[in-house]
Amino acid sequence: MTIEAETLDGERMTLSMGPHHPSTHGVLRLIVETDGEVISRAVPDIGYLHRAIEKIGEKLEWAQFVPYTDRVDYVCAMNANLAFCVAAEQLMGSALAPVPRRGECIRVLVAELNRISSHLVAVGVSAMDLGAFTPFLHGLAQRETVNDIFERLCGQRLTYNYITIGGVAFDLHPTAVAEIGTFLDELSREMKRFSQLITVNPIFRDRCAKVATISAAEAIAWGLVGPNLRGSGVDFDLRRDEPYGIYGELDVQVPVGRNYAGRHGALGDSYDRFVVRLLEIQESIRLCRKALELLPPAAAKADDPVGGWQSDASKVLRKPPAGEIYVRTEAPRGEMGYHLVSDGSKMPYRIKIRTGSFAAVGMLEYLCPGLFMADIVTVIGSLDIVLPEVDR
Amino acid sequence: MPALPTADPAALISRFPGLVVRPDGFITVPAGELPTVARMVRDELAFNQLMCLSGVDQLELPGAAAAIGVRYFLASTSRRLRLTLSVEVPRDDGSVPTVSDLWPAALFHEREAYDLFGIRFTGHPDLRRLLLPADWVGHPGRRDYVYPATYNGVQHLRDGQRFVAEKKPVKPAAKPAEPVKAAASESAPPATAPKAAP
Amino acid sequence: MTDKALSPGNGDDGVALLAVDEFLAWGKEHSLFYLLFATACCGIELMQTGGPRYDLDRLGMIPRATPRQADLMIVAGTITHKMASRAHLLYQQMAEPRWVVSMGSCANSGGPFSKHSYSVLNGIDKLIPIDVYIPGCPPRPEALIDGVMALRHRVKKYRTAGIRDRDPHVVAGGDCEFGSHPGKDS
Repeated sequence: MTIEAETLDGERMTLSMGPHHPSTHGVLRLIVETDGEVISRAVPDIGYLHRAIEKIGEKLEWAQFVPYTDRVDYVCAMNANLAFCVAAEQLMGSALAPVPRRGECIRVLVAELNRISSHLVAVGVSAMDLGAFTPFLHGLAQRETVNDIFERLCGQRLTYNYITIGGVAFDLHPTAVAEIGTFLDELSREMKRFSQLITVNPIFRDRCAKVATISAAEAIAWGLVGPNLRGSGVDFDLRRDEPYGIYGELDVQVPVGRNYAGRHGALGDSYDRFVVRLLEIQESIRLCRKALELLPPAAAKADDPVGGWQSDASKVLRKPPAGEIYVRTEAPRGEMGYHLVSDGSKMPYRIKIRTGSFAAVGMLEYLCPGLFMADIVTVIGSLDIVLPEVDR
Repeated sequence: MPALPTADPAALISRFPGLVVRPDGFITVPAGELPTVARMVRDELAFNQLMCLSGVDQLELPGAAAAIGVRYFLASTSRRLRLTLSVEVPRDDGSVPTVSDLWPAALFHEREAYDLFGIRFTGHPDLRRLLLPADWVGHPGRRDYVYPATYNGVQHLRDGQRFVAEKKPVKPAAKPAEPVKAAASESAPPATAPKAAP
Repeated sequence: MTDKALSPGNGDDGVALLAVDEFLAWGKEHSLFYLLFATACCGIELMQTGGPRYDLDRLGMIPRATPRQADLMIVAGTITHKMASRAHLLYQQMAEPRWVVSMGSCANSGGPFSKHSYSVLNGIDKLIPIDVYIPGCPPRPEALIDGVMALRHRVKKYRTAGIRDRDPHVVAGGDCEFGSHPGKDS
């Protein structure tokens, strides 16, 4: 809900929100100028988690950079791994054998599982910021199951370093397929309960509806990507429109915002972005099941073109040809693009990471004026900002 | 893997003869012509999406001028095409006209490029450091950047220096501390005696 | 001793004889409110430790958003130079007695970013005193709980006169194995 700031006669007050604040999702700082309860200006101040990951990449070999991509976005580390590896493979071109079929299926499987767990945190946290604590706990309980599967797969709960250049690091463990199948069934039931808890809750809906409405043209011009872009009604998903891996065969269905709040809301408001994320969880469940169907049986050799999982088993020193490339993939927070520059040596010359949250934070200064002070957490939650992506 | 095809640069070249098409499809634009080229690219060629704006320090890049490069990765959602513009500016005091009036997404990207590479974007409404503190010295994205030894009085490791933990003093094993103490007390008086004498 | 005096059914119904100091320390030990100071990856593990499976609440640990109400600061994540002064300020805003747990390699030493990063502080112990170090990138929730249990032992020994253990404890460090901290058996 917006109010003309001019109609209120109040004293201007400047507040510093963050960098340590429980609902800024990390170390975002907003310098907010308020006129009574209405925001007249909000300037984001970022960089409190600037860890120089791009610069570190220039000091390491290509394969050594993969663990750092985990830390670019730790909520969905598999997707961050995948984004860098897909880009590096395209840069290497024919110097590297294509990823084996089984490896591609495993990649889709783990990337979609991680998308589910990332969206569970996103919708849970955005509900928690608005005062509903229970859905957050339900989301976390499911996320623990995904973490268990990944831990058996690669030994880590959060930062996996699993997807490597040329495939994945290990084959699936023997019980993985059964575990994932059970989890997907359980999650489908749980998502129904989750929706009953929060999605149709009128208080939650009214807090989100008509808050920070973004039109399709604005969303494209400001570079919004992923669920934020689709929440504004733009039918665009890189998995379908610019497919990488085996996504082209999977017939990805793209949910878009359609003013889900009905007469209370507007197309492209915070509620639409929330619902789009929930629908994407359903879609990811479907994609996981499809990837399990397509999964060929494991071969004895890791570099077998069908049943293998790593095309480059010899792990020779990788030297891509000199060149420059920009490759983007669809992470849970939207387009994760890697601008890679190679000078032909064993180390990258320059790595630039473009992430979805960076664009979303850039838009805050434009979105916030006219909103109520309490709506800031709605906006941050609905844009699903994760700070390491912004600062890198 | 089918990425979006790159747009045919013929329409641009016929209008702006100063542009150079690199072998990899990037179009090099002189910094002065960027505003008009960018406006035409957006309005007439419908490249409505600025995917990424990236700075590259070409100091050690073989086959490139020792300048700072700015890359504009553009995409068209309606025509399903992509296009890359490249601008090179001198390393010392180089400046580029801003494109943030065309694509507001560039507002943050340009601030980041200014922060890390020291490129001044003329016409940018709020060109400040984005990621680093305002009192930071130097532009760390550059290849010849020297890492700071301290910041705010806190010591910082040099680039490539390893973190070495301070070793704990090893506790004496059992009881042979007594004779050592006795020896020390015996040797102590001669050391202090000359000092006490005058 | 303290636990025994306060446990029900020890003969003196509702009567406990002990020093006020011991009573306060006992209370603090069982209600360590912690400051939600999550900056990076470890923050997600901290969140999941507070979540349904590991349930940090059962140890009497409730997250607090403001340092004024917190006894314990869990530094979860990378501290950059830009953030360092804020971390120090938050520590200063906490009331005595206060304890600090350094969670994860980044807070311990800068972790994977210490060698080549220009903007990361090489360990939060350069600014504030640390009671417990927990290694890992990120540490498992079990490791965090182990560190907290070790901390509770030294909270129990705290006396108002300021008697406290200054020697930092390292979870699974050279002094003790994982899961066998000094407070476990006493």
